[in-house]
Amino acid sequence: MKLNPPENRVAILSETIACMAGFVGGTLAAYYLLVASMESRALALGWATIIAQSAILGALVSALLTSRLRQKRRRRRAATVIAPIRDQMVACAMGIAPADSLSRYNHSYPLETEACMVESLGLLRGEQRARLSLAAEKIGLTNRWRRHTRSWFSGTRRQAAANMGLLDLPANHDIFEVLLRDHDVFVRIEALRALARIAEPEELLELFEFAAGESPMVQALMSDALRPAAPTLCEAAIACITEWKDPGRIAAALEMIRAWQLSLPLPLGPLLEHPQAQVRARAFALLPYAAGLEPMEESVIRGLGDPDPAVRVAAAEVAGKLKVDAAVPLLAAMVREVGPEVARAAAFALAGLGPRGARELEAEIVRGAAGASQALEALEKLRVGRSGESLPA
Amino acid sequence: MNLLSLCHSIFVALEDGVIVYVAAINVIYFGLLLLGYFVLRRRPRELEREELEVLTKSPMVPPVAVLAPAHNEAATIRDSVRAMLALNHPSHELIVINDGSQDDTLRILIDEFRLYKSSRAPTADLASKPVRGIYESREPIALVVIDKENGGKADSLNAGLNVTRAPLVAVVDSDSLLESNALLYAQRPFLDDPDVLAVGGIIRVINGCEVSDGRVARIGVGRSVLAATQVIEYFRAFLGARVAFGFFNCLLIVSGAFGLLRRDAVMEAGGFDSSTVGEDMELVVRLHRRARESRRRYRIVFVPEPVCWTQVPERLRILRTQRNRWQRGTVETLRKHKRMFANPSYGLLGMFAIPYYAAFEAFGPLVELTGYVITLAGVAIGWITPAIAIVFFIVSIGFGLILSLSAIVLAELTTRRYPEVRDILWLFVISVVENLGLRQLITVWRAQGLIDGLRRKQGWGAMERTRFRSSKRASREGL
Repeated sequence: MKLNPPENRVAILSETIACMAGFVGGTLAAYYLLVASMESRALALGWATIIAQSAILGALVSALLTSRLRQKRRRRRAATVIAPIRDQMVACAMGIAPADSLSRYNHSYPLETEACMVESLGLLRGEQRARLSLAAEKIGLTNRWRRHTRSWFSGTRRQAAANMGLLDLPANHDIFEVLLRDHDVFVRIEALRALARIAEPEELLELFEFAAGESPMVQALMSDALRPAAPTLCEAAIACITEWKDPGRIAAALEMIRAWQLSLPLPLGPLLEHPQAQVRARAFALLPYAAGLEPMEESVIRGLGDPDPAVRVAAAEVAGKLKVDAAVPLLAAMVREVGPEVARAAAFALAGLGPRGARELEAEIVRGAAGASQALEALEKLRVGRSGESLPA
Repeated sequence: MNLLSLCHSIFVALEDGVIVYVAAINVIYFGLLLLGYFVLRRRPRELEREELEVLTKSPMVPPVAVLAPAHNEAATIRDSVRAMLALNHPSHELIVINDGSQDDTLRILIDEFRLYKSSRAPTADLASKPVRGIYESREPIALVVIDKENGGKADSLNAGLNVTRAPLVAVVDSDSLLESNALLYAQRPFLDDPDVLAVGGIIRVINGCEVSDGRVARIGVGRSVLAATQVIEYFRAFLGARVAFGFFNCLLIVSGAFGLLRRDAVMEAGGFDSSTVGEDMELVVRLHRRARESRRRYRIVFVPEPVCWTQVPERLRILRTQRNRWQRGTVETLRKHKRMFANPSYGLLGMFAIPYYAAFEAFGPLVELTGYVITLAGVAIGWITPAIAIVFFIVSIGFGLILSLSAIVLAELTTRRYPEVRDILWLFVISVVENLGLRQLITVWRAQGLIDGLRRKQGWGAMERTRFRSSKRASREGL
């Protein structure tokens, strides 16, 4: 994310410098006007500064009062006009009133009309939304939003993208594709959401791949936006994910799929043997949702012997969750490992495996294994009835 | 005769120096506030309600450990812990560090949250005072209590860092109140950019607000002049200077009352420095320094959204102690990192931020006091006419007024949190009144703090805390 991309930085600095120059210029102008009539130059400078300061103070007070008054006026106006605008909008959506019957309101109360339109579009579906989208196009709201997608202010672009996303107008596809390259993450998210709403099934996979290459926040928000298409996306993604070149993107995609928490027949085999450890670890985390397609026990046992500690940790967590009894000896051996994270994951997995796991933990504590303290912690969690919770960070 | 003219020359030079200094400091302050305004106006829109709801449930949001040192907090600890456990986040863990409290803090925590002595072992070994025990709850709540010998706030935070395994740590004061979405707001930059090392959030003054169920129910200013003055000060500091310094990636302070840090970066830097009273500023400067010396890409960000509410002193004695400590903290940090001063290899940080802090924040009070003294002396001797002295006094007040009003307007235009117009008007009145004595008094205390800092005086000083003011509804319902 770029909080202040270059064009914003230049604009911000220019605005600041312009204001400062205005202040200094104003002070100097006042000074030159006063200096002839004052007994000393210092006094003239002092008074000039006071005049410039007074101007700034006046501007500040007016800014504050204007902001409050405008807010109050908006609230009062909204209270009177929102209801009739809403009624007219319902009539438009039902097909009772013509699409351009909202023009009058849009002309006199543009902000209120826009707010009502956004609200109504968000609530309606199907034909009613299509009719209202047409009305938005006819009264010029869509054009305004299109213009706003090119605004210098990211907040305006984001709002415009969100509003455009509510419309049932296929012609907006290109605009969203442009917005996908916006430097503001929220504009990209709105564009992704809008595209997810109008995309064909095959295009959804492209969006999913795009989201997987984005920041974790986009991934988290998009995994939610794509949830309605999750069952089809899961299968399609798992089938082609191995062809992606970027292992980071594959790992992120697996994480997004895991976030859906859907129990699906996912063929995870190739991913569990992927050359990249981060992909293997994420694939193991997904294993509990893989609904019986994989030979679970075998995979878990193989994972516990993985050369990479992160994969061993992921496999141990799965062993505890799926109660893989055959993993007990390997888990016990892992408790003896020097790496505290591996030992801890193994100890918590054993705690999840019931009495046999607990006995192993006790034995490791008595033996004074490297991970004895982790074993003790896991055993305590078991005793207080908290071993079933997911492993703390 | 010669001696007199020499004295006069020195006087004139000093006076000119002070005038140039005062003009420079005010113009820079005003410039920073303006910059802050334009940055805030163009900043990306924040997470919306639906997005916050998604993130609150998402397993993809990395865990955060909230580190809350507590020392003799028996009066407020129960409510504070409950409020912090109720924060909106998919996986946050609260780590309360009982820093050798002599009151019932630990007992209350054990009883209230059904704690047991856990075998949870530290995962790192940052230096801290001996830990007497680590406690976890029998309830399904992510609460860990570390009981340790008294060692101060930095020492406690190090103990917390040793125990947590979360990749991000939020540093909070246990008697502060966080807004429910504060963690998610603060975590947002980390979710967007892997180069972010720390995020500072805005701190607001809770005095005058009504609190219910560990949340601020009604925002207000309160009638205390001292508290209202600090409301304006906090606005000036957070919405102006910190936003502006963040813009240049030169943010030197992530407040100890609320900040989010990347644990690996903090561990790599050696944790908090227990030998300073300004541990928050010192750590951030150290993070900057290490990143710049190793030529790594990094960012330390200020976000104005996460709101942490804190109590400010309403007694002069306590305020004096606090300002003295802050001043010493600044001096200690600048002295420790003096190598960065005007050093171009640290970029804008070395060439602007550090010199700015040294010239205006550390030594500012001394120069301001010198200005008052020589003006009064000049008028007494007759070297300055009373007219000029009065005009310059008005100019000085005018600058103070502009800064205060700009800060109030900035808060109003960006965060718009005071519902009552009378609160805004009261702040206007206070911004005038503060210049007529209080500002000068604080300058004296800060100058004393500067001298104490230069003399390497140690000690934290007492901070008085009171219970939060409950809302009327809550009071009626006996909450």
